[in-house]
Amino acid sequence: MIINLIVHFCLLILMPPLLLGIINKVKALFAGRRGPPLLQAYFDIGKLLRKGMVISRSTTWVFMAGPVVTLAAVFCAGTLIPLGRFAAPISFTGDLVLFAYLFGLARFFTTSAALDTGSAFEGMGAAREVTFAVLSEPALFLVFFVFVRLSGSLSLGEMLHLAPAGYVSGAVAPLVLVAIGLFIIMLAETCRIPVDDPNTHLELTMIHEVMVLDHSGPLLGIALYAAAMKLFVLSSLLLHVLQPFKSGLAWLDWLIFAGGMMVIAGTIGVVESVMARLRMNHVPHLLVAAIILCGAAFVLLVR
Amino acid sequence: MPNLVNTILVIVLALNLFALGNSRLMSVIRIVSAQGVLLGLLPLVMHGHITIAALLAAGVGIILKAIIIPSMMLRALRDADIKREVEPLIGFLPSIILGALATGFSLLFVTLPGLADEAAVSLVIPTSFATVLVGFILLTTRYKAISQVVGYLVLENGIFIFGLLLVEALPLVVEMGVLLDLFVGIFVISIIVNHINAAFSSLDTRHLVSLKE
Amino acid sequence: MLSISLILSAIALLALSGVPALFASTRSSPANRPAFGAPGAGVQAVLTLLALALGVAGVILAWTGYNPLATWLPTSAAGGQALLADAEARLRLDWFLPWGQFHVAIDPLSAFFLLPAFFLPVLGSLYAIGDRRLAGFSQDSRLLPLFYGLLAAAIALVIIARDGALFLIAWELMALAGYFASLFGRDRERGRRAGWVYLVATHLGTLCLFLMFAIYYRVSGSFTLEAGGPVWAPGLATAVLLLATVGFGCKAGFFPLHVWLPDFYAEAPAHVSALLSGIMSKMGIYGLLRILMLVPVTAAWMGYLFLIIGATSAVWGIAMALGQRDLKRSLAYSSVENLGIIAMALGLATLGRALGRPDFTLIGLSAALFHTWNHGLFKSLLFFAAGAVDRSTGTRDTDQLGGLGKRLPLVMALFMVGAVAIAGLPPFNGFASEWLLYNGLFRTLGSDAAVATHFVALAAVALALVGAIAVACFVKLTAAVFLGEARAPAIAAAARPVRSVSMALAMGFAALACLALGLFPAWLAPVFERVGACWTGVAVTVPGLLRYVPLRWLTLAGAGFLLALLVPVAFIVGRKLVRPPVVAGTWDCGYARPEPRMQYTGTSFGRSIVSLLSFMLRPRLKAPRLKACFPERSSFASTLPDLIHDRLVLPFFQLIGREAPRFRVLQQGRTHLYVLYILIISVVLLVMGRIASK
Repeated sequence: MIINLIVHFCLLILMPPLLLGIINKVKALFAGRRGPPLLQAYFDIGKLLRKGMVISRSTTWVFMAGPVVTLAAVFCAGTLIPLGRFAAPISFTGDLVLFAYLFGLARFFTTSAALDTGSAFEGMGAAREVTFAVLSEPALFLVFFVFVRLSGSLSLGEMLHLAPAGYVSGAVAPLVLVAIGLFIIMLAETCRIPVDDPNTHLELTMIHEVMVLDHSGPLLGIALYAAAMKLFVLSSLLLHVLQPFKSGLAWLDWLIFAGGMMVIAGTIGVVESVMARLRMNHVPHLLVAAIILCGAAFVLLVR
Repeated sequence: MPNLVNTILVIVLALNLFALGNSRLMSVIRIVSAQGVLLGLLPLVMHGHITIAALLAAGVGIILKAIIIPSMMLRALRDADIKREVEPLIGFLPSIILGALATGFSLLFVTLPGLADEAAVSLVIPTSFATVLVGFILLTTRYKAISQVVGYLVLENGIFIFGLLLVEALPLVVEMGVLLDLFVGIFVISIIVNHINAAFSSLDTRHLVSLKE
Repeated sequence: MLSISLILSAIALLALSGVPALFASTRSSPANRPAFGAPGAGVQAVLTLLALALGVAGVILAWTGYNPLATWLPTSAAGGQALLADAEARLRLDWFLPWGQFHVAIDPLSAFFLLPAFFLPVLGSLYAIGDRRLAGFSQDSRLLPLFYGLLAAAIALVIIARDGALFLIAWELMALAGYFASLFGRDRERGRRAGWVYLVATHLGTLCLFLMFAIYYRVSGSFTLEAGGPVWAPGLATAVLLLATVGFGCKAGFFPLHVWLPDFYAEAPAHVSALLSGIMSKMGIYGLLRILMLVPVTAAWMGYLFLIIGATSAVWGIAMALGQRDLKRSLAYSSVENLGIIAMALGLATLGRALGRPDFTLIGLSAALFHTWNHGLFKSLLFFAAGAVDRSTGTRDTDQLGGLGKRLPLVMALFMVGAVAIAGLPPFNGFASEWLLYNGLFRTLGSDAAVATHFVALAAVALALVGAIAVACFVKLTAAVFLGEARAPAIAAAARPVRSVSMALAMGFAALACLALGLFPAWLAPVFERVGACWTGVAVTVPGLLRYVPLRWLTLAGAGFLLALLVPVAFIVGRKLVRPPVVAGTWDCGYARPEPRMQYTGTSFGRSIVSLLSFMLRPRLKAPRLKACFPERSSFASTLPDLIHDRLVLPFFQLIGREAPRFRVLQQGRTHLYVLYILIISVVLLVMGRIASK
């Protein structure tokens, strides 16, 4: 029990940058390059944390609060979500709303910090971030409806552990739709291709990277780390739908979980390699499609 | 088996939406050919046992709809050297929402009473109906001749799903006949596309208006 | 008896709190009057504080049923006996009016609404001390405290009235006092126009209430607003409920009855706006709750109706709020959103009663009540902060402001507390009440009750949508006003720091209350249960609210979040100490000369969402069309007019304005003609009475 909790926190804190490494490695392989080492993201973050800061004179404390609050909020969301078949450290009826709204809190401060610099680029990124959230948040709640309907429970832990039983009882169709929808939501929320390009720092076409344009040193390190942790948390949510099997042995299940996360990271890498980024005005179409898929899943359940 | 069937069917539904919302002609064609592959697999998993008729339907379906027709269309696209953007009559977002409404309507209201294996086929009829509707939406809201062909293809996919219910009852000949019709139709259209392109130096079907008396 | 006397004296104090201001001197120049900003505001603050003390004492006595007189007085004394016999918190007096009586009482529902009704005026008058801009006005601004006090007193009277006639009198008094109090804003002319629209709207609403009380009287035989009346025929009950929805919904500002609200709240002085939005609009909710308590609901459609009204109001309100340029107009529209959320919670409670599910009822009612308090708190805070900004810069146009955070750091911090709270984000109170509502909706979805799941699901999706837009909206307001650089340098240069202890205190109290209610919502669970028992008439508290929704976990979650915040904060602060940051210009992709005018304005920030929702909002764009190679100087303008106002209400009143002059024929200006009218009407009434009696 205690050991599982410790493993949960260790994975939550230590694993996120690894996922970035895997994605970059897969992308490099597709491009025929050797690519940076798997652990590059750790080196980057470590180095950034040790550097000094450059701060714009337009800014106030809100600028620094951005990455800091984001990290705390995403970390709290990470304590609410069960990893694999194990229980989450904190679990109560209705924690799913807290889970979703913690991301809202993170968004509030990330976008405020971006707007605090007074830069047009960062304003643009912030505007896009909140716009796409307007579509991805209802989609996320529709996903939750399907889980609540399948499991009859209102806590993330029970919900995510019971709902995949639908695979056995014949409710496969909704779960497949939810998996597709959730994958789109995850790509949008973590700012991956085809919604956002995490590699372009100097173009008008990006969302997350442009918001942290003026953050430097430790602040940038924290922002990158928080983004990776968000990717980790949302991937582990998706993994519950994709991988409902369990072995019964604790160490084996943890291994299965870690493996599953790496496979998801690899899949993201493949998607990023074979797809082009969507034009900004087409991104809402993708998100509306996600809403419709999750809505259709719910309709299938209740009809 | 119903699990596998339902999985395939909802993915087909999802692909419908992506076909409606995609702006690149090539991606639309690819999506429809992926739909063809999935539908080709359906006869094999549908009834729990593999018959020669099912095998034939699957083989011909996949080869024709996933390989031959898309490659013909891609070729026509290349030959005609048209822009790869779709020019819709109504925007992408409205057409996605229209497709969603069609899907929701079919899921909620379209059922066929009196079928023996209710649970197993509960999604088949709605999916088929929704796909046909989406085919109609594509047909009526797109200008380019090629996108209209895509519409026909989606329409045929819908009919194909419906035909699956009957694949054991009806002779295979009927399904094959439909496929043949489609094939010939697309063959003809591909030729016409080239000619339209030569005559009007554009693939916009709106120009055909000038042919009326 | 004691409790009701305390409450009544508190109300009298509130009503009189503005009277001393009439004798305040306004002749001295503002320079030598530093202590008391607005004339008489200080006295009013003291008196409202006294009223709060009396009122809270009364509410506590009524709530606990404790009668200190019983312990003080010997029971043998005759007076003591009489007092003991009338221990109930109720007062009934006959009066000179031909109908109704002076009948006031306090039950848990009233007590719940009384607390903010006594608390918010204290904050408002405290704020008004510091708002020295009010002091700059002419003689008549001495009237503002008078109307402010009357407004607060009328609100409290509405809450305790138990008689239809008294209720309507108090209601009308509240409407008129609100109108007069709102006239003292910065722009008198616009204030008058907005007030005019408000007067028309509120009276149309009151008309519905008159009709409703007429039917009520017809059925129950009296105006007494007490449970346990006669059996209602379904048709009449429906009529009463629909009339109440329209009449009270007009005050609450439900879509599409909200048209009067944005301008009215925006043009009133800040602390009046806070009172109007914070508690007067809640009287619509209170009225609905009271009527739902008296008239039994047996059909589920009422619940669905409230869910739909609430969802529509919430989405419309927040989307319009996002598109506004005026800071206070934006806040006003967000009132529509929050009242919509309360209406959704009310719908859930009604649904639960119709379906016989006490858990839905209790959760829905708790969410509605909780959000009522919360909205009063954070909306007051935001209006105060907006007033401070207005006072400092002289403008409310968010596209002109910016960078105020460096001039008004305290106002910015407090505004951000309000913004995070109103956006429904943890760990503040807005999240706690929205969380309750989500819990109720999810519970409905997950249960196998005979519910039209689609409605409930749509409502919950609407709530999620509203949450996301609310984040955008309040990020926009915060950033456009306080962050970045000033967009109009002239205004920024003129901005004065606001150094007023009383204003800071008013805002600080509200912010503290927001945090406290967000961190410890479980303390209120017994209160909600008691009100719930009163509202349904059944003791629904068997398993208790905390068994359905573990409110205590929110405390842990909030505390955990604050703890988790400590680590990165400590790290960043440490790094800053070790290596002081280099201060430079905004890097901005290496752009050579960033200028304040290149910043994203509030409008451009909200534009992408507005255009996403353009199918329902229909924003108006005036964009230049380029014709030649070297285009001339041209301008671009985008506005977001309220469709309901422009396409529905205005044409309707224009039609009336065109057609109404035909009735001028009747108005000839000759007295004998008017006497003739009276004669004709008397004859007609006599004949009708004759026919009716046959």
